[in-house]
Amino acid sequence: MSSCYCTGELVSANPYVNGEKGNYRPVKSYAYLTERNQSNDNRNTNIRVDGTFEDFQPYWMPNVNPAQEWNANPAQWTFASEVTLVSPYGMELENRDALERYSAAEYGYNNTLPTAVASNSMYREIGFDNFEDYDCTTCSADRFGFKEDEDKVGDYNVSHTGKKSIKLKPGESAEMKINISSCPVQ
Amino acid sequence: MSGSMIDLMKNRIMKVLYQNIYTISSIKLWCILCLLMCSLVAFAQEEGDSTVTYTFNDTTITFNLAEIRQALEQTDMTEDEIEMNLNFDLFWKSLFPPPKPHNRVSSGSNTSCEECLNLNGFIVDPANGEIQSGGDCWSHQYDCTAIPNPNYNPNLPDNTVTNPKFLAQDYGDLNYNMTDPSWTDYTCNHPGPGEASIIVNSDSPYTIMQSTPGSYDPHVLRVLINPSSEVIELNAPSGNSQFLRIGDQVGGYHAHRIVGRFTVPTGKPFFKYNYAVALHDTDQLPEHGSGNLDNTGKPYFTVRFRGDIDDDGIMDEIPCADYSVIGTDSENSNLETHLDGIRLYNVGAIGQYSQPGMIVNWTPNVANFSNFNLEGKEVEVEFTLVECNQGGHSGWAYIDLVGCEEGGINLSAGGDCAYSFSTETFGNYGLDNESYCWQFGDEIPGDPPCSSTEPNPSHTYSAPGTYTVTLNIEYENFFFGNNFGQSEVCDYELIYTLNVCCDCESSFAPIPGRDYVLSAWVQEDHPDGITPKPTTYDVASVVIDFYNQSNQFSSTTTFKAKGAIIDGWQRIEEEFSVPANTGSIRVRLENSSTAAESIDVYFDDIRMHPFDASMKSFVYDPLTLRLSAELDERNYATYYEYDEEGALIRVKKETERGIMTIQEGRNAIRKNN
Repeated sequence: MSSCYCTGELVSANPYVNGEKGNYRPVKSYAYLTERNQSNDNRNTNIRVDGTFEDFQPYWMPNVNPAQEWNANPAQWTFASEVTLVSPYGMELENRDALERYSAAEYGYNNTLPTAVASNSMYREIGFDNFEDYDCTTCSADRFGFKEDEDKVGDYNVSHTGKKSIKLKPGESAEMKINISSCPVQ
Repeated sequence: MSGSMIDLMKNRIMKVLYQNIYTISSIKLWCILCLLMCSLVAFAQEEGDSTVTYTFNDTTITFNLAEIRQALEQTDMTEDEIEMNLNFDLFWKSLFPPPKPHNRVSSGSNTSCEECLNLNGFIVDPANGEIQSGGDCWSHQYDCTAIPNPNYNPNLPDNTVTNPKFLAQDYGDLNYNMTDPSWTDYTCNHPGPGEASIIVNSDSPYTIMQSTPGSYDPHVLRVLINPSSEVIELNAPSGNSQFLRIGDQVGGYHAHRIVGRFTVPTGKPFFKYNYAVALHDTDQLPEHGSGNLDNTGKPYFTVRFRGDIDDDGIMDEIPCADYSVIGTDSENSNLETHLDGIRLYNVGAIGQYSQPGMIVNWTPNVANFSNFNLEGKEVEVEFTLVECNQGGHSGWAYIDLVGCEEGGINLSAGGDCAYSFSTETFGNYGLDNESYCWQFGDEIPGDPPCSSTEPNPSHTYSAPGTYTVTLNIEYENFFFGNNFGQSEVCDYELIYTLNVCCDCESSFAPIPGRDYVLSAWVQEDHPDGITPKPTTYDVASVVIDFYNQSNQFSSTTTFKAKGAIIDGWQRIEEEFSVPANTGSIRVRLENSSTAAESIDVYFDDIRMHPFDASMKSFVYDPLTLRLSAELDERNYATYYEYDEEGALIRVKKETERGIMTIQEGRNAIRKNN
């Protein structure tokens, strides 16, 4: 996913100091599946010791020779989910579970607060506009919204939720353009 | 015997002769045949040079030599089968009287074949005519005679072209120099873009290979190197009805040249052509090359272009447009793949006739005039085939003109700001040692000079905008002028302005072919007293227009509010399907009331999601950032109200029967007596 440079001019900077690079985030999660220990104690379950793994193999094991290498051992690790999209502001936007079902979240208010969460949907498939955060930044609402008709959005003391709504006078309209799949080539 | 019977017998004899020649794999056998025919010729000469007698099944037939010649000319063997079948030469030349003496012929035009063999070191067994040992059959061939092109057909139809495009002339031997100005004498016309038809001078040994797109033989050039060895099929590029062949299998060294003129159309500075080359005896040594241009003695094929670059009225050599194929040493290998696309073959039978050949299969090539002030001007193209200059050699070059084309950068847009680039004209042309340098227009100071060196790179832009994409291609070309044989580095630049239209962050982009739900809340402000309060809102609508990939309008749907009006708001919720070929969508909120009606329309909480998804959305106070409402799966709201300290005091739920308070509470309030 491409990031959004809202800062304007490019200046010489250390991206690691700025936090633009060097951020480690979880990509995939796995669950360890194995038998559990169960024993009887005086014809009762021995819950003091029961329930532990019968065996355990770490996912990563250091190689013996050469010693610097690590080997993946995915045998008993079962894929659970994968993060497929992360916002440049750090939030996870979309993930996919082992059955390839997507879940997505949309962020607004300067990319700080979740405005929509959806299950069984990709990030590109959801959009929500509540007209509240139009004056936050130039970079927030242009994903799904009527930014081109910003002048019609305001606090008219008429709102379904929040304070604001978009008002259309007789004969007026507001328009949102959505480019799908690929940008039209000139 | 009736005349028709005699004709039949003659034909049969001719067939037998052909079949024998065609199936014989041993040198001895065809040499016997050669000697036999030689004797026939000798016999004929005794009888006055005009007839020959032959006994066939107890029937004696007298042939007219001219008749035999004619029969051979009208053979039903295809030229493909004959051509490059060098073992035929001896047979051919035994039948045909030598034409004009070659300036290096040592044995004279009336030399018999046997004498000819002896002259060239062959020891022939007088008892059976077999060649015992020694000799160089090619020298023999060279000395004996020159062979007319068996494919030559003066009655070749003009085919589709009425206007001659090219005239050609056989330059004979190599005693010319490349700056010979006589080439300007040829009158040539411009083949239009896409045309490749060529008419050659019917006096010349050049041959048109006719072809019909889609059929087998026209596009397949069978080069029969040796009757017992492999047949190489050169597949001519399809699309053109004709292509040109220059060359011969005549003994002696010859050069062939064809010159054409055409005008470079404005904006189409790239001249495309295909070529294939078959060269014989590529192991020639430099000491054999005194008369040869590059002094290597090797056969070669060259393409040169001339145009008036500096507007002085004189045609100049166009740099970086020239190209050449020069015979390569076989390194004593019988058959090997020597270079990419170039195969070396043992031409002739195994053994004493072993001489390497070189086959370059059909190869596309392109000349670039864009940097040389030539658009709209006339340009001359010159194809030259030069055989090696010792002994009798053969060589063919096949030329297929494609025409003038635009050059440019092909691009295709992928997902978010990702573009794939390819070079339109040059991508597949395999120029020598090509190197690419791309700049995508979003470089910042300090970036490397080339953002990509791939021929077909991909690039992802970080933001929408207009970018200038520059492609610089460097390649090597052979240089002809004064430094023949050397190569020079050429380069050219393609510049393209690209409007990147992608969204900045990963955009909202429903997937074509899938179903979605659009949901919104709408309120109409009907002025008091003008109209009665409506039970449903119908001047407010949401219109979704779909446009296809080429930005053409394809379909539209209109949604209006339904259901109960809850506290002034009515909900729009409709499923819709995004058509498969959709490239863009416009969502319009519309108020269709007239000015006289004066109905204001408010929209709020508009959302879209897949029809089988479950979505919740949230509304916050933009100042306090407290959650003020939560919209459930059906876009009904749950309102959260806070006191001035920020503590939740009330939760209200929007239902079809109105907004209900479902929870209310206060805490930390002092009991006031």
